[in-house]
Amino acid sequence: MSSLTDLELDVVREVLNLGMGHASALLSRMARDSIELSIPQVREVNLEELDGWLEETGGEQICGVLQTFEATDFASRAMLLFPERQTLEVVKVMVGDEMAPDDTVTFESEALTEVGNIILNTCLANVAQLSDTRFVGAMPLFHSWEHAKGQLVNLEESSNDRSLLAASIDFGLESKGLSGYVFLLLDLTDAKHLLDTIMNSMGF
Amino acid sequence: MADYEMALVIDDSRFARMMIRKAIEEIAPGCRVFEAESADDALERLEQLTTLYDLLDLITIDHFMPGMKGFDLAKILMGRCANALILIVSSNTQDAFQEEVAQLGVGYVDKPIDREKLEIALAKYGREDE
Repeated sequence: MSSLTDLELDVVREVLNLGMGHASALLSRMARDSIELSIPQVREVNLEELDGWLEETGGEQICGVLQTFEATDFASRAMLLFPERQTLEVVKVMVGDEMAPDDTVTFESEALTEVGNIILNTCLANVAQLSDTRFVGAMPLFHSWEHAKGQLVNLEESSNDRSLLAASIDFGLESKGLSGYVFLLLDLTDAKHLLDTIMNSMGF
Repeated sequence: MADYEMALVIDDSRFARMMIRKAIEEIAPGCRVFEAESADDALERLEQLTTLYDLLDLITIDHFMPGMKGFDLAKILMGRCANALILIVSSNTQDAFQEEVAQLGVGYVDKPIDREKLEIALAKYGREDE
């Protein structure tokens, strides 16, 4: 049973929707193509359940971008997960064939970090606007999923049972036949704090 | 203050509907705001209360909803609600999307909607006497 109310889950869905919607405008200009988005799904999960959910999406190599952010009285981290190969195909469309073979590996991690950075920051900007709070975000860091999972587990000395809020959205560049997805992860306790702040700020 | 009297807000997100309702009620105090959570829900409500077709003067439609999309609903309502200003609301700020909205002949407001954004949209797309 969810510990978030239906309205709180709806707010999370809408925040990801806003973030991805705005990010897609930036990314579509880079890709010179329109980006189609699905309706977001939101679930409360532990790491084991998250692994299962990721497996359902195709079980591909997953990578993550982790960003810490803080306000006056609050600090947390958000993580974005996406399928590495599919997202790289999208990145290649964005930069054309200008990738130099010698630095492809470095370039790929930088490019994926930048895509993650755009999406995370647009989500954060919307949370900041809705909650009337100023957040300062640190530099985003790129991780493989295995390493990223370790980062999640290490947060607050938690275990595999720790609850996370996970929201996912599918995206596609229809004319180029490319598709992928992103997952936004947030500690459930931190998510509740942010949701309370948003609802108070909106006067709801 | 704008003189809108009857509005219909269509959005699958309850939170989004709450924000839009708040913005409308701030700009047009006394405006009666109806809500629908999908295109089908909106059409059903309108069929139950057909007088609304003529009385509605503002309709906001989220484009991306389960079932019928906002564009398709807007096309239907443009023919039935002759007195209403129709605004497509979306977080999709892509140029191609905005061009599609413009071609459809309705207004566009990007989410999240607040009083200021709605006021600008009403001034841009609304009746000349506002």
